[in-house]
Formats: sequence, C-alpha cells, structure tokens
Amino acid sequence: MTPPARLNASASSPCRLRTRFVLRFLKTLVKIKRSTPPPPSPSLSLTSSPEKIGRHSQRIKLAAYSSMARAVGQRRAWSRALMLKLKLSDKRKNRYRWLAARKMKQQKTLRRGCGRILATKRNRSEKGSPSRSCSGVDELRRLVPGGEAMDLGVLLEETAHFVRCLETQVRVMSIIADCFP
Amino acid sequence: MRTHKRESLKVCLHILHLPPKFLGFLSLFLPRVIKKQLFVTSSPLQLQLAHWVFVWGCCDGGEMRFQQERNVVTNCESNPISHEASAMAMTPMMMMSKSSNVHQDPFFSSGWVPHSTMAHGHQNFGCPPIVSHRDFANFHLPPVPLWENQGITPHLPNYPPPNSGFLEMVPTAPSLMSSGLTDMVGPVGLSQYGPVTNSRSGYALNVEGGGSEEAQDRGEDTMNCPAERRRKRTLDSSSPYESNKSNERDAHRDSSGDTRDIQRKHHEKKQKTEQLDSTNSRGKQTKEDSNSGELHKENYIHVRARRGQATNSHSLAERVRREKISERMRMLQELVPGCNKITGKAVMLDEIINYVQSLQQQVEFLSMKLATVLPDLSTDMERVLSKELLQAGGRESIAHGLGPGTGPPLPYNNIPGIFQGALLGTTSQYPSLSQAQLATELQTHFPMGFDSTSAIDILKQNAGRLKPEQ
Repeated sequence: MTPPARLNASASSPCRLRTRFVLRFLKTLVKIKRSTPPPPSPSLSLTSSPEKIGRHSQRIKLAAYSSMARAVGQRRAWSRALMLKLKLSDKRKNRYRWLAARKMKQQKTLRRGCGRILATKRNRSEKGSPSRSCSGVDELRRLVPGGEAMDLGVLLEETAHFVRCLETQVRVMSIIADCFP
Repeated sequence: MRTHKRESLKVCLHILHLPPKFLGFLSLFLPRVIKKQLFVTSSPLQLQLAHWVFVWGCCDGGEMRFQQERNVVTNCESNPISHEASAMAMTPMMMMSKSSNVHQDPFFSSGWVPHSTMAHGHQNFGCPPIVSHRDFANFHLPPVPLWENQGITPHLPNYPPPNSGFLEMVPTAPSLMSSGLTDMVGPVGLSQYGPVTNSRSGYALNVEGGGSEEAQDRGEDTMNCPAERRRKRTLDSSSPYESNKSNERDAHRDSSGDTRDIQRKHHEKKQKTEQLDSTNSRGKQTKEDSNSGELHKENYIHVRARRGQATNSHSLAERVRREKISERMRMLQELVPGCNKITGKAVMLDEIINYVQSLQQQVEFLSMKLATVLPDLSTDMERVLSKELLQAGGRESIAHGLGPGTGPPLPYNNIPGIFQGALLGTTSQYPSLSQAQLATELQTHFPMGFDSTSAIDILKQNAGRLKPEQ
C-alpha cells in the first residue's frame, strides 16, 4: 500500500482509534472526577485554586496520553515507550521509587547512548550542514517518546503515527471541552 | 609432450602473425626452436602429418581452439562431413604440391600419402583440418628439415613462395572449412577463424599483389560470418544478462549503434521501471511489515543498481535507506498541513517539529480547559450538547467555537457527524446510572456501533451524578 493509501485506510477506520481513545479518555476523566474531592460549597463554581487547576490539568493531560497509548497498544514503538515511562513514573510514587528511578535512568542513558551513537552515525552519513540536521533530528527524537533509540527511518514513521494520534486527541478533547461552555 | 606442443604452437602463432618481412628473419630462428622439438618427437609419421598440418595450423589462432576442436574431433569420429573435409583438405594439399618447390614436393607428396593413410587408419583424424591441431606442435617441424637442408641463403628465397603457397591455401581452405564445418565446429571456433583468415588474407595480399582476389572475397565472407555471429552472440548474451555491465559491453562491441542503442535504451528503461517497481513494491512491503508492528522484518532485499550508479553493496544499502527516508518524509509532508511547497529535509524536519510541538501545546491547553470546566458540570450540558450538535451548522459552530480556543484549525468531519448520529439515536435516553453500571453501559453501547453515544452517556451521567453531589 502506498503511504497515502495507508493513511486513508487508517483514516477510514479512525473510528476504531478515535473511539478507543475516546472510551479510555472518558473513563479516565470519570476516574479523575471521582478522585477530585467535591467542592465544599455548591455556590462556588471556581473552587479550585490555580495550583489545583494546574494539578488537575496535569492529571488530565497524563490521562489523555495514557489513554491514547493504551488505545494504540503495543503496535507502535512510541506507545510502548510511553506506557513504560508512565508505568515507571507511577511506580515512582510507590515505595520502590528509587528502583524505578534507577530503571528509568538506566533506560534513559541506554536510549540516549543509542541515540547518540545512532545520531553520530547519522550525522556522519547524512549530507548537508551537520548542525542543522543534528538539531532537527535530535529534537524530533526528544519529542517522540522513545525516539532516541530509533533509526531515522523508523523515527519518521513513528512521528507520522504520533502526529495522527495527537491530532485525534486534540479533536476529541476540543469537542469535549466545547461541549461545556 | 603436450606442453611442448603448446609452446611450439605459441611460437608458430607469434611467427605467423608477423608481417612477411620478418618471417624470413624468424625462419633463421625457427630451426633452433624446432631443433629441440625435433629431438623430442619420435614418430616420423607424426612429423609428416605435422608438416601437412602446418598449413591448417595457420588458420587457427590458439590453444583454446586446439582444445575445443579436440573435443570436436572426439565427437565427429564418424561424421560424414569429415570425409568432405578430408576431400577439401586434399585439394589444398594438391595445390600446395603444385606451387611448392621441388624440394618440398617430395616431402609433401610423401606427407600426403601418410595423411591419407592416417585419415583412414586413425579414427581420431576423421577431420583432418581439425585433427591437425592436435599435432600442431609438430607442424613446424617438417619445414625445418627442409630449410636446414637447403641452407640459409636458398632458404630465404624459398620462403616467400612456400609462405605464399601456404597463405594462399589458408584463406581458401578455411573458407571452405567454415562453410562446410560450421555445424561441426560451432560458432565459437568459426568466429576465431575470422580474424585469422583476415590476417592470412592480408598476408596473401602482401606477398602476392593481386592474385588472391578470391582469397579476399572468401576472407570477407568469412569475416562477415563471424562478425554476424559475434553480433548474434552479443544479442543472445544481452537478452539473458540484464545487468548494466553487459549493456556496456554490447555498446563497445556494436559497430552500428542505432539499433543497438534503441535496444539498450529499452533494456535500461525496462530495468529502471523494473527497479522502480521493485523498489516501490519493496517499500510497500517494508511498510506493510512495519505496519504489522512486528520487529522480525526481512532485511534481505534484492536491489539492482541503476544505470550510472555505483554498484557497491554499501552504496546500494545507503541508497535504499535514503529512499526509505525520502518516502517517509513525503508521508509526513502530507500529514503536516501547509508543507506541500516545502522542499528539503532540514526545513521539512523543522516544520514537523513545530507541528508536533504545537499539537502537544494544544493538548496541554485543552487539558487545562477541561480541568477548569469539568468540576462545573451541570445538567444543562446535555441540552447545550444536543443544541450544538443538532444544529444545521453544527460543524461550523464547533469549528468557530474551537477557532479562538485552538491553534490551527483542524478538519472536524467525523466526530460531529458521529455525535449527531449518536444523539439522534439516543435523544430519549437519559439514564441515571451509577458508576458501577458504567462499564456495562459502555459495553452495551459499543457493539451497537454508536460508539460516541457512550461518551455522551458518560457525560450525561457525570452531569447527573454531579447534580446530587452538588
């Protein structure tokens, strides 16, 4: 299948991805709703302080990303990396957080090492100004979860899928946010 | 013995290829070389045969044919053509005998007799001209004793006529041979006759001014035949071999370039299209593999080098990698809005990075928005939702509503439609279910196909729940 065909195919059945994401996201939203303590006074609409809102938004953001990663599943490298990262960050909160931190560090160093090695190899092989391509590719690696340990070709593929997933996320969240005035 | 023969063959070849001027000089040296051979050889019959063979030895160019025709000899033992060849051989020999000197006559005649006897006696010599190559080593032996006996000075004047005689014979005999023995010897051997006959005819011309017109014609004929055969061979070779190297070889060989050029171009085009198709298919295959998400891809891909490109394995792999990357960049170009006009990897990469960053910022902003909005859910949300979605310009309103809120406007085609359909289907349903039944609700709604209904139900449930909570 050609790339556009592939995209179209996935777009024709984006319902699956989107619906999955929507399901999970709303589930997590409900959970968050449950977890947030009800405001003491019903009259006050904006009970939460900016800090609370900030924490709330962070949780919602995490919820969105985790739901998206779970919706994608193990099919994509970035989703796997993201799920692992979230798992480890969750474990951090537990008493084994130092172990998790260690794991994370090790993984990060491994990834960075691989990424550096790969990056240096790529820099040597690639044409054009090394500084520019360096920064571009490195930044992309930073943006895409698990992108540091990827080949450039694989990285570009992952970015394409990641971009599509981000787009669906934004759409769903915007619609939900728009539902409420 | 065989090695000696080969060495002598080489010597004779070198001698024969030289112009007739030097032949006289070398004839002086010949005896020395051949003296050794003389002592080596034992059978007189072989010597005689070798002398007769000397003529035919001129026709052939090298040891290869020597070996090839050996095989042919073994094959054509009882070939009727062999008799024809022998008959043909007879006539040149007769000519030789006529033109040769008195001294040589007895030798030839004597040599002839044993040849005939040999021809009948030995089965291996069914094809005398070819057979002669076997004893090619000895061919130069017979002339030696003659020359040696006569001395140097008489030898020199004798030399041109015998040479002329030989050379005269040479073009005629091979032509006859070529015409008669094409089937036997095959194209390879005959093609090798070509240049030799030309050279021989040239010598004949040099030696005798215009007496060898026939030889010339025959030489030309022979020249044409092998050339045609060569072209045929090249054509045959070009069809099976599809590599560029063979095309280049053909280019070098072909004299008339028009038809060949067209053929080559067709070949190249075919190759290019084939390669492109193959690369495309391979790219698709690799993409399908990657789509499946499995890590165990087949990295063993057959790649063909295009015309004018390096065929090093490293460069091929590099090219494949570059093509992969360019394909993916094109894909991303389609995804990212407003990147159709951009050409270049670096700029494209920057655009992609900007787009991804903007999307992530949007997500953060929306999460903030939701964080602020969610706690303030009320029952009016349902109505607002329905109103918005049931409106004719539901999409537009949503788009407008999202315009200031979100960054770049994204196409919202499917979701509003889905919501609309879902709402239409489930307007009457306002279940006030508890959270425990949420999962079951979702499951019941999911198989129906209205997946978004679950979202709306959840929202409504939230609204319902919040109401009593508040």
